[in-house]
Amino acid sequence: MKGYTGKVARINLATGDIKREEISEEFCRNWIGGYGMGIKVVWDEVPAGCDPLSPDNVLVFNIGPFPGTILPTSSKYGVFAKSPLTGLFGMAISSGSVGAQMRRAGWNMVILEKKAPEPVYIMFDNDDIQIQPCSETLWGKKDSWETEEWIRHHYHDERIGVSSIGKAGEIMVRIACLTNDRNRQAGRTGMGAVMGSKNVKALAFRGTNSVEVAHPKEFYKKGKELIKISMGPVTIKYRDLGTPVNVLEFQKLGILPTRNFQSGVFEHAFDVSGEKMAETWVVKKAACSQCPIGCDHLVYIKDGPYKGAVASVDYECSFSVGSNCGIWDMPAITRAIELCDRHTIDGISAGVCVSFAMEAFENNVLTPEQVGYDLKFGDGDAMVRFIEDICLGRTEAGKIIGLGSRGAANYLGQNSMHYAMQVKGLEMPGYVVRGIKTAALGFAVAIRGGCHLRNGAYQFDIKGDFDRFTQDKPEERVKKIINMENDYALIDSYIICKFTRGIYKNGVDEQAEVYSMVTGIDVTGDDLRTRGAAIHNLAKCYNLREGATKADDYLPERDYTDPLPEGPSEGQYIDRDLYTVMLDAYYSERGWDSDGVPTQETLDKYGLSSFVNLDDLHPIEERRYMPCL
Amino acid sequence: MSIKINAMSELGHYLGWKQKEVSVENQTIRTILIDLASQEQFQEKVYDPVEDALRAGVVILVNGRNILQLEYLDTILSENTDLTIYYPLGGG
Repeated sequence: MKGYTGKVARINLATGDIKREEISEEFCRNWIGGYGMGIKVVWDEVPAGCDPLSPDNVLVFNIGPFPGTILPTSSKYGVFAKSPLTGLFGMAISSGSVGAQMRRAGWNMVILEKKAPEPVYIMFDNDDIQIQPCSETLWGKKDSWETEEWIRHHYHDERIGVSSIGKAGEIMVRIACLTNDRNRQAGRTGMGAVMGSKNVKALAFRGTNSVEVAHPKEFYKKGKELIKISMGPVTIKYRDLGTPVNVLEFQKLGILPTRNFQSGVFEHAFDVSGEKMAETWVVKKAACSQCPIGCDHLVYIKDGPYKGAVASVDYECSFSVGSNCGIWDMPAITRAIELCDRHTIDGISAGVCVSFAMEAFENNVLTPEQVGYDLKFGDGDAMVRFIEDICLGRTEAGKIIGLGSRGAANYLGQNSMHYAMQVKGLEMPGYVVRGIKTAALGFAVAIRGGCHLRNGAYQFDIKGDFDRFTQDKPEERVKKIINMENDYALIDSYIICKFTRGIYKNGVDEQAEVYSMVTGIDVTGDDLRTRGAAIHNLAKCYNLREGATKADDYLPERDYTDPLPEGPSEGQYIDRDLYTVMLDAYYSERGWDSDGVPTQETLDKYGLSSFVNLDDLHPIEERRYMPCL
Repeated sequence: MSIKINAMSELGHYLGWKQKEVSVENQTIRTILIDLASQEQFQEKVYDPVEDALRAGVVILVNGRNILQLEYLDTILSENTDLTIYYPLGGG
């Protein structure tokens, strides 16, 4: 077996015991890597109903078979655990140098168990693993950028891949993430808080081993072909102006989240657009290891109150701390993103939590005494200050909002859940789904919560496969969503960047050829599609086991009750009854019952019945974890 | 009457114009595209007048609605129409 290293480091943090284990070819074939291996380990090893911030949770780092090869955008790694934000399956994927270094160091997967008695970081120097105390050097003293620099300097090697947490992870802010290479984040579902709960500051990888593939000649030819295509028209958007071009494009569609998703158009959209950024603010473009695209657009603020602020500004953060907070002050936006990256909170959740807080403040649900100052839409300085309050947990309001919008709304009450823009506890990404109604279902059924990356269902609306303003053709829509969801489960398991999904002209069939060339494991596109569906079904089983119900597959209340007030999507809202028709169609097409529970036939079909007991899947609501102070 | 035509993101850079106002009288999108295709770059990136086909990846919206959900190239343009051309349009 090539591609994979086949090696797992299982580290008991409480005892310091390190076990080196092997994974079988069958395990690799079945679970591919990334998302697939992540959900299998989390299913097997996290006790049902456990507190995600307790030592019983496990934290899994893994890669797929491709890092270290010439396959474009394959230097990726995933982090998996039970989420302290949603109480369900937690997953976050990042790029940069860590995936490639982890592969060259020889590790397919790292499983962190229990909790270290004191703060540590873990250095993987090829086969050597060192657990190093860091309470005097890093913990509580350095943010993620400084931690990365310190570790690289300490080991005299700038190539070391470091995935670390800042203060927000240390104090277990529920939206905490991990940062590597300064600008790349394993962002969503609070994986940084799990790392903090285990007293682990960073994982660092230095690898000098070569990577062998099964069919080097064929793969070399194929890899060069894919690199060439990935520098062509299919990725021009990401290379040229970057994802912030979405700002004006989504404005034209009337789906640009504005002032906590109250509107789909922003009167100052141009000021936070990719076009304006390129003209005025971007100083450099950068790329991850093994990536020919270079989507990172680095903004540097040269003067003014935020002089020296620097961040890679992508669409999701342009919207989240920009239009969604009513802010067009680019220096303040840049500083806010830098704070998120340094202290390690997820930029999407951060912005949507701030916008929730702003609306709560304007409704007198969050009080000036709790915040300490005025927190109003459009105030960039207050937004920056509040982001820091969340990261550092330094005010009552900062602590409350650090629970995530669902946890905060649950705490604050007074109908604030109505405008907590989250699904399953995870804040929504930058699309007002009232104007894209296939995406409305796609984002709501997404396995980790409000998410555009588990199925790119917005594409069916904006590219015109369906009328984006109607909720007709439920069967046709759900088939498209499910096919894409299964394909994306594979992309997240290989793991490759979704920005290169378009370079594979024959989709999964072509990816199967690449997989076989690298690993020597013969698979067809149909084999892989079945595994994509199996991975998704297992993640669904996990959510059910942790207390998820059908209600978790519904949108934020605002989407059903507040028609968009202006712009190209004016008047659009989600009809709840029609939505339920579509949700039921989705369940049926998936082979799930009317509560969204996979049937025995479905478990059998995907080979899950040997370890999934149907009796464990009927929602046990009291098991559902809710973040609280 | 006149309508506005918007060339979004990279397309605007490539064509050298981001917005145009053109006079129309009950014309279809096809007629407008044929006129605009007198510009070589427009032919190359947006519309092939010989094949009467949009180039791969091109998305056209009329007042925010995809023309695939209207009458496609036969959609008739009326006063104050906002016609937007994307190349490409995706997420991120």
